[in-house]
Amino acid sequence: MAVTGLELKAMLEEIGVKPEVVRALDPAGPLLKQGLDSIDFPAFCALVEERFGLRLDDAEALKLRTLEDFTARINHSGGKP
Amino acid sequence: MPQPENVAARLLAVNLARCPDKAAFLCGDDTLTHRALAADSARFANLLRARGVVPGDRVALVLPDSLAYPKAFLGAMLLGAAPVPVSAMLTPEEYAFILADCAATALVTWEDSPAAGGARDVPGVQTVLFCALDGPWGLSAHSTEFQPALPPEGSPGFMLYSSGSTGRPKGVPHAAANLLGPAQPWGSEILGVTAGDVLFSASKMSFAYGLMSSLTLPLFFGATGVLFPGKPGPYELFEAIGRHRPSLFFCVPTLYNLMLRAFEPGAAESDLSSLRLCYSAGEALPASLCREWTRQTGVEILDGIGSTEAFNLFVSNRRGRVHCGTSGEPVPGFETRLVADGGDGQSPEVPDATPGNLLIRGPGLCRAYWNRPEKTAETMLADGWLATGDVYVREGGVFTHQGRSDDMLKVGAHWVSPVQVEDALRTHPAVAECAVAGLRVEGLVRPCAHVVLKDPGQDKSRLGLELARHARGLLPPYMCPVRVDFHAVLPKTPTGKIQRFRLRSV
Repeated sequence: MAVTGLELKAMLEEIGVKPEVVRALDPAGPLLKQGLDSIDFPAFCALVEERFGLRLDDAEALKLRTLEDFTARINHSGGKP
Repeated sequence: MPQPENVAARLLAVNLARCPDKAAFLCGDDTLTHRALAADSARFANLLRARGVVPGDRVALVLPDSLAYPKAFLGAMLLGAAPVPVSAMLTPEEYAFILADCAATALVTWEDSPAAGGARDVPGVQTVLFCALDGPWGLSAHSTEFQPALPPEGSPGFMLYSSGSTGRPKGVPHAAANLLGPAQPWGSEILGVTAGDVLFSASKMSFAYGLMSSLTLPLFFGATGVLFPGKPGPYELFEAIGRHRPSLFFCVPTLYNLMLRAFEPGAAESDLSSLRLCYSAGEALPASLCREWTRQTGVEILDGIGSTEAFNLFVSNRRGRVHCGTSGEPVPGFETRLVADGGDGQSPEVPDATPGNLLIRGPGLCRAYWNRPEKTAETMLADGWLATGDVYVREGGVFTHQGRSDDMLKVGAHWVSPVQVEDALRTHPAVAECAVAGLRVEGLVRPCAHVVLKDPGQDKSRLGLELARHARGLLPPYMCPVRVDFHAVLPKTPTGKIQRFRLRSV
């Protein structure tokens, strides 16, 4: 089942990103430009790997910049279990 | 016999003679020439002396990287006092500990800083000097003439603090001459620094890596250093590189990762065309990040390992022959040994391709922590060997990092003691037991919390979030667990000690 941007936004709140930052997120814009930091990013990658049972290859993970990038990557691997 | 000389005075005099009007440091829109640096460092020494600081005293520096920093550092050294750079990101309690531990008589910081708050509880701190980015108010009223003094026999020339496994930082004193150690061969042979270089370090001057690359190298080579006072995020670093056009960039893997994620090839906002070389230290640079950085930016990146105790880089990659995913080969001047657990400088080396604890020997190593004889005995071994605490494998002369021999984690180039993170998590009422160990995310080590709940029936997904938030309220960001895993029991030794190494997934 395909995962949605809204579900990923809820996961960002789960790792502790402030709700107001999450609410204002442009799914097509770089996450680093919208208030995510060097702690949020690895925490989010770790949660994505755990929740969707996928392994983000290091070089490939570097290309995930926007929420839409994450949505596409997760759905490419089959989405939600 | 050559007379001992004041290291700061010599550095300043050499540059005053060879390049007085050249920029020594750039910070925002401001430039500090070598001539102005020499004058203001002498003024700073006079100011400190007027405020009662004498040779042999410790002067704590809690400042953002700014033009005030080299003035204060060199001013204290001119006076024969020991500058003690301390991170600008600590709490008042942590400052109070360090100020009392190093018995600082003076503190140089900004107004309203948490360090000034911490100093109020330390009676030994007699002077607190407040600084703006370019120096303390009233500095220009002091004379630019100063007769340099030497630190008394046995007193450190400067001192840095490094985190300990119990979370209590350890003072790492160095002789004044060690300030120049990184210039050769690291600066000259490995980096090829010349007077024409502009050096920019994202790592702050309160860390050995930042102090070496922002102070030692620019001054030794008569080059120019870029000082960046703010919090270095990827976009801020691109902006500073675009503005100051450095040729050498020093950074840490966590930030290289974020910069690559923000990098837009060909875009004016991420113009790296001024760079001839990037250096990475502070934590191991993952092979994928090393390759991607070079592929996307076209700039070579050298990974290496150094330490506060060495005040130098002792294993490093070389220009033109980078082995991505490794720390490279020993830096000339340093001897290395890889030994089994508990081994010392006399122990036989482990064979190639077998993990061993890295011992180093060479010039300029700190030979005793400040007032920590037990820690000194563990680390500073007989015959001049120093136990780095890092586990390496050597193959064909190239060293690959395998992790730590203790439970310490290196996260974003900061030391993280699991004990400190566990103490913070245990203050949450739902936590019965917990242990913190490394988790590898995108090739980089991050703290992961392993928790046993008092009531195993609680909603774990809600509690995971709550514990992460709880940690964020108590700890600096790099110490916060990126994940919370719940367990029924934690692995322990027969005597009941938690085996953190069994929880590592790095």
